[in-house]
Amino acid sequence: MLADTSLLNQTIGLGEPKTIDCFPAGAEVEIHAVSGDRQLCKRMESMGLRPGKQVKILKNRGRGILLKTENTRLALRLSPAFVLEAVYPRP
Amino acid sequence: MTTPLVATTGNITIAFAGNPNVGKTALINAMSGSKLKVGNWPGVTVEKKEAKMQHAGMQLKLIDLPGTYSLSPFTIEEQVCRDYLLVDKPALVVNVIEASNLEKSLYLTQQLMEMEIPMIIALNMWDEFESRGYRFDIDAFSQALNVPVTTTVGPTGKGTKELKELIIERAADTSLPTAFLYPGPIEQEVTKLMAEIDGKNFAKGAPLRWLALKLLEHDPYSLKKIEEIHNLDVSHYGTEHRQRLSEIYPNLDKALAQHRQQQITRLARQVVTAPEQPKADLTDLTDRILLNEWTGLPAFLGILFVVFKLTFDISTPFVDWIDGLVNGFLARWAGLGLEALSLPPLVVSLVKDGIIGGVGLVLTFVPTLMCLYLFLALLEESGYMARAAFIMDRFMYRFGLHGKAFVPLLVGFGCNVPGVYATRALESDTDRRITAAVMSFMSCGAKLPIYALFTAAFFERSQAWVIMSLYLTGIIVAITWAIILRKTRFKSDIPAFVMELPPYRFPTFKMLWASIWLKTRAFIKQAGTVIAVSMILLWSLVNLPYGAAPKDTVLGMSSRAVAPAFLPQGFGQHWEAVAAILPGFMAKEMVVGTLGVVMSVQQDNEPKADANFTEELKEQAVGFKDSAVTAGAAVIGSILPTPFQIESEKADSPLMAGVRKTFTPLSAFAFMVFNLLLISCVSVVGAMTQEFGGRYLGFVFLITTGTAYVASTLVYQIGRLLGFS
Repeated sequence: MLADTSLLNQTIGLGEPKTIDCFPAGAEVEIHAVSGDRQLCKRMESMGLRPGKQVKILKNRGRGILLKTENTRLALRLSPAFVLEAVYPRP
Repeated sequence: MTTPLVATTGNITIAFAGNPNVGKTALINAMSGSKLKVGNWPGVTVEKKEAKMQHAGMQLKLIDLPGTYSLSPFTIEEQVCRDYLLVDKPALVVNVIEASNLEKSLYLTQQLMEMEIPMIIALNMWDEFESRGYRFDIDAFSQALNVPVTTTVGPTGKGTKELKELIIERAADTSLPTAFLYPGPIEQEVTKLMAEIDGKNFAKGAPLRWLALKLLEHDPYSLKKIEEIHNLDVSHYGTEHRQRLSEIYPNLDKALAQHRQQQITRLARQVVTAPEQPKADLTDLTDRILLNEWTGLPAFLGILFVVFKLTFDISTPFVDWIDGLVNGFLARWAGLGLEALSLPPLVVSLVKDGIIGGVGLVLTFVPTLMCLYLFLALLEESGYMARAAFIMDRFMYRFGLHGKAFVPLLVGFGCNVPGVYATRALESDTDRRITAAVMSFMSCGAKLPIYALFTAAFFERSQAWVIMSLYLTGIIVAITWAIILRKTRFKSDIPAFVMELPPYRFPTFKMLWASIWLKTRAFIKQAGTVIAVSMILLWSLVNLPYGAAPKDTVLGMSSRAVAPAFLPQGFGQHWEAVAAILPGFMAKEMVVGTLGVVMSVQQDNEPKADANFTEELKEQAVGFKDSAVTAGAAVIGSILPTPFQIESEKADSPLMAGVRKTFTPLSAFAFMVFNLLLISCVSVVGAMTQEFGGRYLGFVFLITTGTAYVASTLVYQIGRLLGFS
């Protein structure tokens, strides 16, 4: 139930999937792919980070990310073994 | 396949499953009036717990399964949950869902529905959902899943009556939830695979569709489990089905995940209506301060300081009161009573000093622990504990520790035993082992009386600073060992980290009390028993042969033999100091008690000439009132800059004088460092063995004892070189 940010997204360029740490705090993005270690991927999926899901980036400290999806806040620490790609949602 | 719900006995076993932190435990507590442990940080319920209750003439057994996000057994919680549903097969599953997080919750719901167990869905935290202005079409939701749905509010118990009624109704109905369907080609292969495995030994008793899906996914954990139970390799099942599907779905895992998400999103959009103007979220607003780049860390350190300061400021008056009540009042009058019965002095001493002394020691520990548990429960249930882990991850990552390890280590400051168990919240075994290994360096509450005595004797003016330096020493040593272990024995990259930060909630008194009482009771039962028995054992060591001088007792003689090994630490020349170490291994709070005994400190607990039992009993009651007033004043006084004023009123006690004779300030500091770094007690040894096995315990015992010996030697020797004495 996130706000519609399509207009903002259009103006800043969208479409290309990027790793989640490339998006600034405040961005509302859509999960594009969860890849890497199978166990981690399944874990992320079970916690709500599934392709197609919209999330809001609350904090981006590079390695440490805080996301919000629905009413859930998820703290992530990225590692080379796990890649979370996102994309600005299409208008 | 259907499962008979009610056995002929009229008993129903109901498993409560759901994501972490959706309020399952609070809901069960509200339904049954039990006091299962609850908390507002993921991973509190790491073992299944049960409560029993009667309703409508039936005996309901409510199983509180650990909170999980899925049934793929990656974590201990998921394993416990999945194995229970597969092996124990409850008659009914109550899937507790947080309505505000429907999409996330439905992932587990999908998997629970595949278990072929009748189900009820409880939309919990319903008040929070409604207050956010959302609407939910419960009927449409219930019809879509073919599952009865009700709304509940765990902490207040609202809706539990309806839930109980629904459980009884469901007992007469064996219909199963509708299966979530996958796209045609996948469904075809699942059906074929189901036909293939139907009737096979390994598939007997298992939900067939679920098993077929696991084989199709080539789920390593399910394959391994079947191999363990049936001694059979079933990995070839599903291979050709997967190959056929690979032409349509090159990445089957991704296709399944995408399809599940699509179904979930579709259902969620169908039943949930968002408000036109979403209300400002209090959690987001609070996080702007508590997780802020600049204010987050100072706020965290401030909260930590207040927690520890209040814990000691509030509990100290009660500790003194209990000490006086048991060791002064009760021990004295019990001694008098026994003497009046003309019992031998040996028996009188055993009862008075051994048994009552032991029980008294356990009880004096209770106020501090209760205060600490109160504050830890407040942090947990308010939702702050998980934030603390997120804040700390930035730092802990550098030391080879997981951000989540912060919580068990913080608990370890109270008592290492629950700290060791709390490592279960960590998913990786490596992370758990490293965290548990450094746990003993977290100075537990039981070590505080040692610091209190020695700092009051030698560092009266800088008591707080010395105690803080000890805590810091423990933290630095823990960090050093974490780095060493990560780079040597557990050489691996620190895995990615994911943790849910629950919304902030006001803890209810009921939840807080349940948490405090459960932990305190566990302490009195587990640690308390060990301490009380150890105290009697210690009495034997220091009193036998009866009537001998302390240095000629069993403990005295063995300590004199070992004492030279402690010469490099500066206290080896006094066997009394060494004598306190062994009982300290049984329970650290016994170090001070032992010093008192071996230094032949006579406590002034003989009755006054005009002693009057009733009068003294009244004095004890007044003493309790005074303690409460002092504790209340301490809460207000806590804002004054006088941290950790511990036991300073005892500065002139006979024990203090004895300690001053035996130690120098430097050897006292070395003694404190030695006790700080030594493995805490036998209870920790028990917990470590249970969790990681005897071999790993041996390893941890070696590193802690070795570090304690080397570090205390360095403190004393370097201190001497710097001119301290």
